[in-house]
Amino acid sequence: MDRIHTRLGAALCVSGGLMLTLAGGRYAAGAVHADRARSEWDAQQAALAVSRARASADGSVTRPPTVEGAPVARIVIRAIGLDEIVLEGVQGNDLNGGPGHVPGSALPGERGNSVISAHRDRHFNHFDRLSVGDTIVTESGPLRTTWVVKSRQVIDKNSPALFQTKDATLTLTTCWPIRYFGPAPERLIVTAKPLRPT
Amino acid sequence: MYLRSICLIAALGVAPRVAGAQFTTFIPPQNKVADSVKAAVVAEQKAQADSVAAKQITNMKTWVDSAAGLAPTPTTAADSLARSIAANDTTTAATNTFPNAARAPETASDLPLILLLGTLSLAAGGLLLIRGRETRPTEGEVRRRRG
Repeated sequence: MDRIHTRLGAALCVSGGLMLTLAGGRYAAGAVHADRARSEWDAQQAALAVSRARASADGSVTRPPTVEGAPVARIVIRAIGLDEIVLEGVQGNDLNGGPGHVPGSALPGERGNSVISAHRDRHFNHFDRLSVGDTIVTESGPLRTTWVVKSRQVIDKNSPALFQTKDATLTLTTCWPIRYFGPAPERLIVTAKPLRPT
Repeated sequence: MYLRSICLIAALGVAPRVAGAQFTTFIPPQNKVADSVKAAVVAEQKAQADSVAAKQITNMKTWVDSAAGLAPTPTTAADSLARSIAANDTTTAATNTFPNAARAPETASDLPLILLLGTLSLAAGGLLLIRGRETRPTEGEVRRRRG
């Protein structure tokens, strides 16, 4: 009986250690990915400054490349202490490294609905503290926009949540409830509008 | 006779002017294409000469800097960077191409659950191991039992 206890205990310890290693490794990989994305973003901004200086007379607006996994924007929400680089795509690896920009949606500041999603246990883990009236600042290429949160909605994960808009809109989504073990059954949808309509 | 000679000389003197007024020389119109090609070739040659001269000056500066022990400054890095960005330039417009009334992206993460299960598993395993050690008879107990 004692031997069974010992073996079972050892097996549980090993499996528990493996699970913790897996989760910790995933978080660590995400942190490394986020660091790399920030470096790429800085380099991109520097290159953009050079290209803007060169084409100042042209007046054309430059837009960063929308390659899967590439940094496309920066989002800052002072109310919840969030400052992250947004990556293109909402697949597993993209969301592990930072908030993801839904492909096909507008970039923040452009006309149309810009949709950004992130995990509730990582980048949007304080989203429950975000309230209507809070401001959000986004940078995307040459566009720097200040947004005001207009609404917060909790909906079922299968309900339609993303709608096309003609005017500039920022939609942030994450899982709900924030503190929940397992696949969360609902989604938190935060909608913001620019301070100065574009 | 004298008067006739004077008239002849006067006629010879005036005739070319009148004839010149009647028979003008044919001047072909300028070949604009050939001219523009020529101008382009000249401009290109000039630009080439200028860029070569500029390059020569740069090389000379690099050579002088190297002689002075200074590292040469990269002159093409910023250009290539700008070129790569410019290649990706697109104009901004309403770019909503995702399906309307779409569901929110799948942001559910299993990592918190895995963390919880791992912690519980580790704790339970640790407890079982400790209990197993506590119930295991010590060497003294084994000797006593044997004795």
